Amino acid sequence: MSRGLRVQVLVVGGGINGAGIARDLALRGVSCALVERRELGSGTSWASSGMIHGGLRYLQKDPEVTLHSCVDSGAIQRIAPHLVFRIPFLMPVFPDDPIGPELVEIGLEMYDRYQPFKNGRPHTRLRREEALRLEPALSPRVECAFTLDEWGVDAARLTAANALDAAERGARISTHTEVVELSREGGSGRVTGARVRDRLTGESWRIDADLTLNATGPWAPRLAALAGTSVRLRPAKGIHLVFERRVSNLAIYARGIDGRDMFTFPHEQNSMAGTTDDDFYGDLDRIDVTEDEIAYVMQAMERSIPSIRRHRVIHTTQGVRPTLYGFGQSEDELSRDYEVIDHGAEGAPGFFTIAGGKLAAYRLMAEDASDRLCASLGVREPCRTATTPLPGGEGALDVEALARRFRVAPAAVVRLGFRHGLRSARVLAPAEGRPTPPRTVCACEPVLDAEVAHAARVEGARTLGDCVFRARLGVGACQGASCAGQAAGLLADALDWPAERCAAELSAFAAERWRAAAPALGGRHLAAFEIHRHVFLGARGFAAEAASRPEDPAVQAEDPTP
Amino acid sequence: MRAVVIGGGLAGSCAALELAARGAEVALVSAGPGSTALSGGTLDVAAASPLRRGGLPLADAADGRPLAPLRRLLVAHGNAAHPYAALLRGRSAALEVEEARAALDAWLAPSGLRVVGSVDETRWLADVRGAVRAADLAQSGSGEGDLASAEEIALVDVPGLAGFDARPALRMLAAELASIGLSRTLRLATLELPAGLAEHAAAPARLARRLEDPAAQAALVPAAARLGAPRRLLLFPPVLGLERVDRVLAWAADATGCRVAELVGAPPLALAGYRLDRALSAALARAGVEEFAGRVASIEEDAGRAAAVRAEGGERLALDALVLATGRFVGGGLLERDGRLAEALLELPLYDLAGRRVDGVRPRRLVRRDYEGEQPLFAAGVRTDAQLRPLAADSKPRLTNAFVAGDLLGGFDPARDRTGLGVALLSGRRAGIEAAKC
Repeated sequence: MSRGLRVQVLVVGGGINGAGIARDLALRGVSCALVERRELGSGTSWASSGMIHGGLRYLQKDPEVTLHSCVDSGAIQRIAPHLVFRIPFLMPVFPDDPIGPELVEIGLEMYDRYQPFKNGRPHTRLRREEALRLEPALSPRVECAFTLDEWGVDAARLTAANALDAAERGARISTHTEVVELSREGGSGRVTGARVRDRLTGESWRIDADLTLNATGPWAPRLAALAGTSVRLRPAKGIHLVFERRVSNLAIYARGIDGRDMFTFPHEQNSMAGTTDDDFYGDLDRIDVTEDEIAYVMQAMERSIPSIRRHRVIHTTQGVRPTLYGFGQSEDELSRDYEVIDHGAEGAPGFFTIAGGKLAAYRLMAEDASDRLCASLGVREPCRTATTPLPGGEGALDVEALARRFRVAPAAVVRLGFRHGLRSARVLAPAEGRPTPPRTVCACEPVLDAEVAHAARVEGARTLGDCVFRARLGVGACQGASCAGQAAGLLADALDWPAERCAAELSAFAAERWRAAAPALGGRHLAAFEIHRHVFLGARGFAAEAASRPEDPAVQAEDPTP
Repeated sequence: MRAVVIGGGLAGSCAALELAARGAEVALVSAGPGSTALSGGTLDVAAASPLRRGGLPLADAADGRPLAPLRRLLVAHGNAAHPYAALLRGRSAALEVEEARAALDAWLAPSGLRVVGSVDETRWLADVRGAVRAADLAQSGSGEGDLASAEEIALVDVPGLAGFDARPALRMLAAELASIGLSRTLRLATLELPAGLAEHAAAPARLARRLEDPAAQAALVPAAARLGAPRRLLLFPPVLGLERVDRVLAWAADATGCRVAELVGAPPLALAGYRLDRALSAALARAGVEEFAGRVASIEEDAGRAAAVRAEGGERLALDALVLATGRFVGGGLLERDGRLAEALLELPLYDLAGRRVDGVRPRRLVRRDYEGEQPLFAAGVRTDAQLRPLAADSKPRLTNAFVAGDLLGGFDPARDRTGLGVALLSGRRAGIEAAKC
């Protein structure tokens, strides 16, 4: 079957940049299509810390980056207040730190000047006893500590919200869809869109576009090569450890053995710790977390929080930053700036790439990129993304009223509100009038069945794995052992899956949770995965196995021998 | 004769009950519910696994004819590393299983829990997701739900019940039946809970408890009566009683006029394991086995024999025979110590499926990317001689009066080959018999 689509702009890549740009363009009335090879926000965006901080770290070398980030952090808070949460940071100073409290405070005083842009409070200095009272997990070796304000965001939901808004304004969003080839005009070499293929159905079709934007993040060089052009990045891998519960009340700075700054911060029911920043030349589709990376992060965290090893790491996230190319002594010294590249001069007019940048400044980058594209299209509409609320961000949610109306626990509504804001009522609406209230599918977070169904019916989630990003399904302590079976049933209902598909989805989901959890496997986590394996392998039926793919010898061959 | 059993799951309980039946004075130390308490209702001596790799086959590889569980048991026995190899050497598998089944049935019967099925014939049971299990032994509740013996099967939907969705389960079950070549009429029957019960649907254990109450049963009769139809097998989600499934089953059969059974459970809806755990505890108490709650700190040795067990609280239990039924990671028999895989109490050497030593190895090194494939970490356990005495690295018994039962035994991956509780049952009983000779 073939179908065609004609748009002004084809955006390739559904991370935060691609989704942000699609939304920006849609708001300006530009018709666009977005194709994403996997799920929205499942690559670098998901692997990010989700901090929309100003980047205290960049203040010395890249004050521009800090300024952009702080200003845009404020903007994101206005358009998506539900997705953003304040993260008070504690910066402990230890006697053996290379920089003493006085110097640290000078830096923080400078940073205070940027705080108003992002609604942050100025720093405070705490005496040792005050710091320990505020955060009992802190190492008693602490000399004094500083507090400062940063903000976090659910990056996958931020991506989804941008894509959703774009779609509601006419953009065509296709997930699990890859570019097979770029269309070229004979003679001029102009890029006129692409032939794309749905990786789930195998269906392929053409998208004709005046302009094609490469927003594939670390994959940008690969897509650029399809147009005979080149994009040079210095890809940098970063990992995070996710703990089974909140290990601290506040976010806490930590110092790596090499002097790098890291931190741990509470997010939803968990704490995250990271990140690393290492040159990466491996296979982007197979980024593995290594023992060394985990040891490096744990060692840093242990210096600030001595009890950290008592907590269970339930999974890791890993991704590759599309850092702009450049030589530097250490990866951290490299710029977090970005670039919009017009490949016209390389013989590929109509083809653009956006590279580099930070999550915190995604909106600003999208504005800039859209300005460039609009200039090329002759569109004069101004950018409206800084003031137009994202879906769900139109106002404040009345949690109590919603909880009463739909007979669900307020805690579940609060969680739902974090992801859907004012639209939470819409998520719950199908349950209205039913004899029984919405049920909790995932007790770890909690996630309601209504949210899983909404992801599939309304938001365009297409696989069980998509629900990890849409609804944080299966990322809690049990890694999906309790919820995946039921969620698969809900999706089967919503998307009319045959039983075999349902089982294949479960199998893929388990394998993906295993991939995320196995690198940090140890301690009490071993028992959790003994159960996990019993649940997923035990749930396998005969029809499912008959329909599953035959074993892949390549997968086995690459396994290490103990 | 004084015996100490460490571990209160199916393996440890069977060992303790067998010891008590042979006149031993038995103490059982249990750290709390483990794998047994998480089980779903099947006992799986040699259940067929649908997994193409690593499972016990459903059909004979040569002629494609279905294998009886007993034949599958012998397939497992043929794998020299599998605990069945040592357990069945020189014994009749059929007799060994039947004796164990009858013993367990007698131990559980006073709690209203029976062991149904046999290894002569596959028992086709459906689980809460609609997947079919090719089971052999099962506890009552799910055990009565043999799909092959029914003409019409109805899944009972209980609106609002946490952890169960009847419609996708029905769809899955239809595909499953087609794939194993069973043609049956499938239906959905909805059981609307009256006020007073409906509030408990979000907490299945509480609902199960309420269903044991005759007053609640009476209130449910009108709704239950609507589920019935001639020649129909009604499959309920596994909430028919928290402890006394026999009474709730009898009531449901009466109220609906149908054959009734439960679906095999799976987390988060798995009360069958809880029932089994409670019934075993009751059997231990009846047999005069003294149960200690807590963890064992160390085992005192004397001249190649175990002499006493010291609890974490400091108590010392002197012994003539010791049974280790501590399980794997869930039970605490295996753990990561100083970053390395170790057996918790005696630092016994551990082996994977291929017979490689794996104790002292970092757990991370014992896992493979292929989730469903062979994972040495989850097949690791101790090796024993034919009497189930744990072997030291030199292949001689580590202690002459210690015996191992259950998941702590290595050489099999219960999640893949589905012999977990079967191994617990057969090895637990055998360990008790051997220990009683000390």
